[in-house]
Amino acid sequence: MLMPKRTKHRKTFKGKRRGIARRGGTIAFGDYGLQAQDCGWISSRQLEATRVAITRRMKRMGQVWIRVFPDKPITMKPAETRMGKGKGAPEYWVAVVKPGRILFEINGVTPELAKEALRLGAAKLPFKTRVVSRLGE
Amino acid sequence: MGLISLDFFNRSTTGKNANRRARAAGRIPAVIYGTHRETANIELDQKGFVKILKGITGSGAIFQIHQDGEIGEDDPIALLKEVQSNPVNDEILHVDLMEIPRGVPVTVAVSLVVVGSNNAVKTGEGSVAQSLTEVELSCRPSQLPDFIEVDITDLELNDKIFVRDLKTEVGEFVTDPETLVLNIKPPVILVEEEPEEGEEGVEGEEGAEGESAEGDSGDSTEKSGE
Repeated sequence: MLMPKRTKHRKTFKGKRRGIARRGGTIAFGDYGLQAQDCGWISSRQLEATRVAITRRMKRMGQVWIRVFPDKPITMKPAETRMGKGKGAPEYWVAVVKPGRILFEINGVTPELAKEALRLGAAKLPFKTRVVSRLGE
Repeated sequence: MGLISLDFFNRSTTGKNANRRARAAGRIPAVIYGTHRETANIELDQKGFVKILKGITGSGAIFQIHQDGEIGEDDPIALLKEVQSNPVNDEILHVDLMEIPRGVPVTVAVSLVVVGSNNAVKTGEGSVAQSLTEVELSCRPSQLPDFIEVDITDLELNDKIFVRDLKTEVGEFVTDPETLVLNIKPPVILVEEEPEEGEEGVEGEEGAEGESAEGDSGDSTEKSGE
């Protein structure tokens, strides 16, 4: 699963997800892309599940680009722990996503297969998405 | 493509609130500028402009603009420089037009369209990997083509087409001639990696405080394994 090799700080603040994506909102590599319509966190597990769903439907043909990277550590306190005693331990990694962000791009397959693969991949994500194409179909 | 007719209206109001009201009323705030004219705030009819935009194949277009919809012989011509839109609902927020003098060549991005059926692609031995989707062309505004065709019929596996191989009847290419347009390459087979046991155990351990930052954050683009 995707995660940073090294980070400056082990734990980060929760942060806010206001506004829309100012960068990464246009298709740059492939012909079809999956665009976020809501804000949210995508965990590295969800990203991997989406990638697997897309590549399986594409029957391992074509190319897939992942346009987000889970670089934010999320901490959790152990079960049945009293409050206090500091922040919990890092548990998993997420990518912070704002509306408009392109999450995945694919190329090298027919338009119908591309849309179907991205639809199946979108089912693994925790927010609403839509399929967009470079040609604006 | 030639010149596309576009009506515009003068705009006296500026600012966020006035522009929001204009959009709600079916008008798009726009600006027109040029070397031989004062920059002016204008607005366009939303429905008409969206219809025009759908008919344009590339990102470049040249308009003959008519003030208040009144058609005259000496109406200026303007180049579409930028269209700002909301990435979520595709609503057009603002348009930039640049007035250009008549008879002077302009540089416009023209889209490339792949045509022809290739044997290697048909049999599944290869696939078209297009690196360039638009090419910059310098020509007179009235001669601007809709698109430039890239014929792949005679290509074999691993053949490449560069900008220098493209042909145009009007103007000349501004893009570097050595830029790759497309190649026919063997299909990429994506290999699914099996998740390794105990991979997650090292997550917390790796990020020790005080270590130097690495450029992992931000717009990281990953190509899936081949």
